[in-house]
Amino acid sequence: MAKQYCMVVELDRCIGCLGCQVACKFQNNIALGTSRCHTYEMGPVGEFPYLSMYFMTVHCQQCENPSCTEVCPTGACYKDEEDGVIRIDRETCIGCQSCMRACPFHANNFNKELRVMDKCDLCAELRDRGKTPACVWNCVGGALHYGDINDPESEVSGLLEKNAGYVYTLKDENDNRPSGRFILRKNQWIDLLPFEFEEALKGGQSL
Amino acid sequence: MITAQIIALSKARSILYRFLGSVYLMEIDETMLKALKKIRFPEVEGDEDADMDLREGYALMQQVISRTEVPDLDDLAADYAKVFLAAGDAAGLAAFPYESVYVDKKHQVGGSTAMKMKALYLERGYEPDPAMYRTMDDTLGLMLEYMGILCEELTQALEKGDEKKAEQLFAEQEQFVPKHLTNWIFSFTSDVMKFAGTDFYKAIAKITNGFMKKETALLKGGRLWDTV
Amino acid sequence: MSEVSSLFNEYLARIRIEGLEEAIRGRNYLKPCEKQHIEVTDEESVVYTACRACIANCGVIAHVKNGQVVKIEGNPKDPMSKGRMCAKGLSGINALYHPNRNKYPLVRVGKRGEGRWKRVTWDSALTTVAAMLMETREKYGAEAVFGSTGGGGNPEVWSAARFCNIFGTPNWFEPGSAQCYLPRVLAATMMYGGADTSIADSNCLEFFDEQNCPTQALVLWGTCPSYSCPASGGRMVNELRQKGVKTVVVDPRFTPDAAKADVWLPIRPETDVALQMSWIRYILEQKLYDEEFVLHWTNLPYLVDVESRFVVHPSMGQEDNRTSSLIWDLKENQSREMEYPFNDSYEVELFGTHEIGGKLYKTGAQLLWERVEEYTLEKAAEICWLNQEDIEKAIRIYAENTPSSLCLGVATDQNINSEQSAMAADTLDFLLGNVEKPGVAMQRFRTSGVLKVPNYPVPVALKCLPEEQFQKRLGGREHKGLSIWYGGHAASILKAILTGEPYQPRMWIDRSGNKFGVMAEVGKWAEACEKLDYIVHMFTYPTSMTSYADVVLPCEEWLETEMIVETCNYLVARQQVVHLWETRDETVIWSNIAKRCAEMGHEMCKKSFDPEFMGEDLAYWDSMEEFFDQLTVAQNMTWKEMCEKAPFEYLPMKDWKTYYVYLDRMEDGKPRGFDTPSRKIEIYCDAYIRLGRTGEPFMPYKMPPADKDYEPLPYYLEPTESAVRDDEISREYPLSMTNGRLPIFHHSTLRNMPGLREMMPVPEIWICPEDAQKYGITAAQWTWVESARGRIRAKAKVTKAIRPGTVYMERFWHPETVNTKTHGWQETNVNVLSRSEGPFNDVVGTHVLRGYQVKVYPADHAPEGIWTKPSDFRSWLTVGRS
Repeated sequence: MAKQYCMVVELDRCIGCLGCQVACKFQNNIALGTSRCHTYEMGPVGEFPYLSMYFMTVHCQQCENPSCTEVCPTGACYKDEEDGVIRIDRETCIGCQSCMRACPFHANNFNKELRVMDKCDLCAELRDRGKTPACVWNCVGGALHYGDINDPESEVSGLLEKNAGYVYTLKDENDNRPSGRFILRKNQWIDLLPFEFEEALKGGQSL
Repeated sequence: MITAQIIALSKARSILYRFLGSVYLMEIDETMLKALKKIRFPEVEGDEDADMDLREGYALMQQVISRTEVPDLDDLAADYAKVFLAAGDAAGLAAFPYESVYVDKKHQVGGSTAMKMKALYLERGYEPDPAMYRTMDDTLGLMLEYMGILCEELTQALEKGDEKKAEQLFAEQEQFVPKHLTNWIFSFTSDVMKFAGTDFYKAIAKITNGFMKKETALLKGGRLWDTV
Repeated sequence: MSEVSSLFNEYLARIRIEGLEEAIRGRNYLKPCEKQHIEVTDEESVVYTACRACIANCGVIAHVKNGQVVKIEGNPKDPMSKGRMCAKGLSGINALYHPNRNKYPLVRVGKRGEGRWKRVTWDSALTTVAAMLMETREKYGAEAVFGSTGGGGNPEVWSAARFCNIFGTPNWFEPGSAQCYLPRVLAATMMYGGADTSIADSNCLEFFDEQNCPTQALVLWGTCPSYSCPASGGRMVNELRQKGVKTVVVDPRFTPDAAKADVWLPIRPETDVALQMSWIRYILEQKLYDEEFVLHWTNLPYLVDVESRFVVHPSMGQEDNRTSSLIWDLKENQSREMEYPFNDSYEVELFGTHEIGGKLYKTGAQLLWERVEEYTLEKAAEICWLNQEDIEKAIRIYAENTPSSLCLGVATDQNINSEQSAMAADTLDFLLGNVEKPGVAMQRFRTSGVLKVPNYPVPVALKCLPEEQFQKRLGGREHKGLSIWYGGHAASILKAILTGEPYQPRMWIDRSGNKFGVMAEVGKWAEACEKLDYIVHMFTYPTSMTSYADVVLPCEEWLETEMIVETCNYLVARQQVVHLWETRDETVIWSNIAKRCAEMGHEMCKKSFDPEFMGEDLAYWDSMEEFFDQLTVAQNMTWKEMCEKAPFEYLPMKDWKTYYVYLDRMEDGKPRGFDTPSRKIEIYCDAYIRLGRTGEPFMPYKMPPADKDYEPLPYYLEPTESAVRDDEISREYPLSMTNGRLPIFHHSTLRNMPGLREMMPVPEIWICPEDAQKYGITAAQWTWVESARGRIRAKAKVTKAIRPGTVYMERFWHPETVNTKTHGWQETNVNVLSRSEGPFNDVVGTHVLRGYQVKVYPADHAPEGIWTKPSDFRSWLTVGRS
């Protein structure tokens, strides 16, 4: 079966320290105002003082059926056959930002200086040298994992099996089939895209 | 053929290089101010960019020096610290006089650019004076002083009639200037113009600009005294 | 003439300047040296060092290429962080190459606050500073100089104390100390003699062996390790939770640790002692305490003379022998003398009141009970704004899942009930017997012997301060608890400056980040600066503090500093990875200043360089290496050797973890006990009375007593500005303000790091939805926050994560406006609002940083000039074009 590398996040372990965003920023020289991953506060919900909240870090979901590659006019945005990771070829990207508009998960950013798109490629350059993506290496909670979910022997597959029944994916209204997996045991999964949820929370909707 | 004119030119270049180098490294003190007050800077004619730079620069310098007295030296020093060290600029914007900042991809101080200058100096048997402020290896002032030294050595070689040595030194200068100076100095002086609060450093920037443009024209490849 | 020749003539005419040679005489800066060939390659080398973005000292691997730090990552060998780094540490390279770094010593040009500086040599700067010091000392006495430290997790807190002792001034302070950690260190030292339970201060060492540690429950009281020390403590607590350890969080904020806890007690800010006392009451009443331990190893069964309030020690004659006690033997129904450690032939009574020889005596336990008796769960629920059932649930989790620990954080250190909270918290662990057994925080593990005091190596040189000077310590008499850290009382120093009473301080020498970010009621400190002749600021980059200074001394960033770090059973060397410009380690700067003062005739400063005179206090050093070589000898190596070897285990884990230290057999055949006068845990701690009356055991000389005796047991004090008292304050200012840590900043530091600041460019004020509606506040709107002392603005975050009746803000200041009239501290800093006036905590003098009253109302717009968008911070990315 084709490899599908992606992030598997144990949400119970995430303590919202934002270290992943910063580790990524320095590793990949991400421009200010943009980020390849984002930690969302899913909460608090409930009635005071019995509240619940979890933290959720969202990277590119390395979709099986990505919208971004579909709309890319130059083919700069493509799904790598080797590992299933979606990449941007900076040479051929023309910065039209169609992929940004197409992605339902807000996974990619426009780099104003280089005038090309930027997104998580699971630190491809580090992986090529046998190293671990910066956010995973640095995750203080041990929440971030990455690997091939199509390989039954992989660490991530083991994790998913162990937590069967508690594995979630982001709400998929586009048939993108996001590869990213979230494991949540100790809280109720909120089946909204995180930024939709944030809007709702801000707007004071009861959740 | 070596002429008195060529020797004089070599000497003048040396002095100007040293002057500019020292001004970028060190603040003006009372002794220097006194000496500067005795100078009549040249009145330059001509329409080329370099001529205009020098004309404006010298004129401004003349004005500034004439109205600057010892109590004003602190203001100059404060401008030095602001323009070159960002001291007093909350945004941290300044004309940092280091090649790596202008030339390297990451615009960070240090790295191979600085290391190469260090290696170059050591190869020639020079190092920054430990008694001076400790600064980056690729600081502009030292590079300009280095050119001053090369011009001095050139002067000496010319005075001795050692054409071979003179050629070598001239070739070294032709190598050095585009590789380590003119590849960034014009962006730098433009920043100095932007950040300088006093006319003194504005004048220095203009003079530097004009001088380096002239140097570029001189060091274009060819022997110094060939067709004389 | 040829074309070339005329060109040459033209050129010559343009650049031959008569007299210029004269002007440059002596101005040569490239000197001849021996020729050398060095290869410039792309080779990368690594340096094993440690972070210091906060105080956690996580191990770091720094990658260096051509003298430039190109990457930093965590060192997996580090026992606390296990290879992780948090956001703060990761910005280390940015901090190192920040364009605003103080690069050279600077002296003010023009008036204070103009933001104009000229560079001077270190030699000149040291002379200037020393001259200021000597002049002030000459005219007004050394006590007119005061020092301070702090900022960015305090590289080396004792450097300032040492200098002040040697210089002869008793006055130095830290914005922390009585407002941060000192209350807890004091309580643990007085009552137990071992480590306090602070996670963020790198204690709770037992827990870092997460997989083997048998801890069953943790109470995180006023601490949020997920935010204060994510890579070390936050990570560790997380692992324990994953393992199934139950947690209780006491915090007005619904933090990540609260969200993951089994019970969250959203307490009204600074009412913690009431809650703690209800816990004590419950545990005593329900008999949940470890009776065996309490009887045998605490002084609770000892009889106390009710009138004098001192524990009775029958054998105490001329010797200060407090190990004997008077107990009530239930078998014989009479009082008996009992020698340490215990006499099992007696049936020792725990709770009792007896009249003996016409005098009234009660056991320590009895007095404790009487102290807590009124704090029923119901009462605590009322005072603290909690649900009674939740309180009970929390206590049961803690008391019924042992071994457990109560980890107390900084929150309770920040108001006037600070010391009592530390006492009460420790009392709870003592009652449950959570002491020195596997799975608990309170331990006395072995150490490497390199550091005499945990974490901070500089010897304080107490003996150098003459008694006459010591007695002049501002606030020293009233708040003797500060003397455990040899320090003075900040609020008393402030008052002295403003009023001239009892004398006028005149010079401030400060090594820290931003005093205008962290002191209480910072507006007063701005006023105070106007009365000071000289102000010196030592730090890595300009802050608001710098705007008030006359001289700036450039400190090293952590990638440039050196420090011996002892972490669990490892020794880590923070080593200088690169060194930029002329920054200096502050530990060396203080030494340099002392040397210059010595040269100017200061006798004690001279002596401080004499190894024979200084003895164990060590002679001052010219470099960190010179200093550390004298310490690393305990491990039979030099500092350089340690740098090569580190990080390394100084003891294997199993040998390092020494449990039940109190049971160790001593030479007298008796068990070691605890490091207290009675060798028992002194829950009824009359040592506090002695402290207040004399300064014993910390003060080198006796000082007149404090106005009122310190209490041997905790007591609850309603906050001075109270939400529940119906008075002018609570009517005008209905909301209770609290603060708390953020994972991307450390105290007042890191507001100039683009990668961090863009995540929170301006501070948030958290307000719950009901209160937001009540006061007309909407989400993301700029809001005025006002107290009786001033007002500032913040952006509203409407969230259930802060309890009703309270608001939360963290300290903030703006590096981008330091050169404007606000000097960066007036726009959004919550400490414009806090209280610098008394009452203070009795024992340690804490002023009020949390738990005071405010009101909120909408603002029209943001404060002028502050940066609010990520792109605003671009110029801070690195030196030069960004």
